[in-house]
Amino acid sequence: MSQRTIPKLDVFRPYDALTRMTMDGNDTEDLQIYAVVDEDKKIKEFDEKNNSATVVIEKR
Amino acid sequence: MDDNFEPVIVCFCCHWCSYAAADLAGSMRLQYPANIRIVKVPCTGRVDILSDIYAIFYDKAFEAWGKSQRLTFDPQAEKYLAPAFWNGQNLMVVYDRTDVATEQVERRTAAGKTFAFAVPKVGLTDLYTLRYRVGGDLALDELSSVSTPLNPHPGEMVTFTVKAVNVGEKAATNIPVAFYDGYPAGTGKEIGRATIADILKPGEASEISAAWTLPTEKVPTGVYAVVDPDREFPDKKRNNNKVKRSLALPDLAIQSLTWSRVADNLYEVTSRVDQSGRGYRRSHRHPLPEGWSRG
Repeated sequence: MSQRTIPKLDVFRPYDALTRMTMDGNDTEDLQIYAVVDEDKKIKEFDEKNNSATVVIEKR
Repeated sequence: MDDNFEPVIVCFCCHWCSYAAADLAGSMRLQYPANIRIVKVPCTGRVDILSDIYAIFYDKAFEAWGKSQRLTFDPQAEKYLAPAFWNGQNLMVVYDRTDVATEQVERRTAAGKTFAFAVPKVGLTDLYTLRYRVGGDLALDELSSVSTPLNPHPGEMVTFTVKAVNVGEKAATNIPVAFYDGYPAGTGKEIGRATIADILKPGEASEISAAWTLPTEKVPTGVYAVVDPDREFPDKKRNNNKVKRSLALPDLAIQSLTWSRVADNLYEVTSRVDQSGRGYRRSHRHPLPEGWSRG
């Protein structure tokens, strides 16, 4: 739903990308978030299988 | 459905085990039901209603037999083959090709048990011809190409190993394999050359390596290997002589994804993106897109 660009990424110098989001107060269900780096596979990589992660935001 | 159905059971018995047992049973005058028919086969590992044509070729110059080559790939059954050589380079085969389907049928025995099984149903037969060109064909196996280390640093020593395979019908020896930094037919520079001195019989494979120090500039880089680069050997197919491997590639990864509650309905999500590959130096800048499911 949104996308941003990391301007520079050094070897073994991780970059923390922060995103703030609001959730509807009436929402009671947990929300699953997915993050994907280089979703369109524009960069040829050594390992293409470690580019995504997911986490569940628990509303309780 | 026939209530008095009593199936005729055909047993395909291996010459080396079950047929010996049946033979021994006969010697001991043990009886088996009259509705059993025994068919002795050389090996039950290959009993099929379908078939394909296979051939093994002999290279007289090297006195070497090749490995079995499959010449047809279809679901029909081939039979009554009439092979002949034409022009010394072409194997011609005339044969019958029969459509074979299976039909599911159910039968009930006199004891009341119901069995379901597939029965082969032979269809139309047609006359076919096959032409197979016999000759040399050296190739490199793309899946077997490997570098050590797998993803080297710029400036690091790397060993590139490939597997040369003789997929033709002629044996070969003293086979050169050349290694290039960059596309061989373009601006690629030869970085090493090795020779397979042994006789490579049809179907055989041999691994060959070249060591090289990766340049510190121009990364990631593509390394190529080419078998028979000077075209000294007759070759049926040239497009299988070359393999490529990319070295010093970057490796982006989401190292962690965490969240925290900032206010009642406000959340903060942190994604830690890491670059543990080799392709990008510290001063390199490259835009990386990052996607979120909800912003």
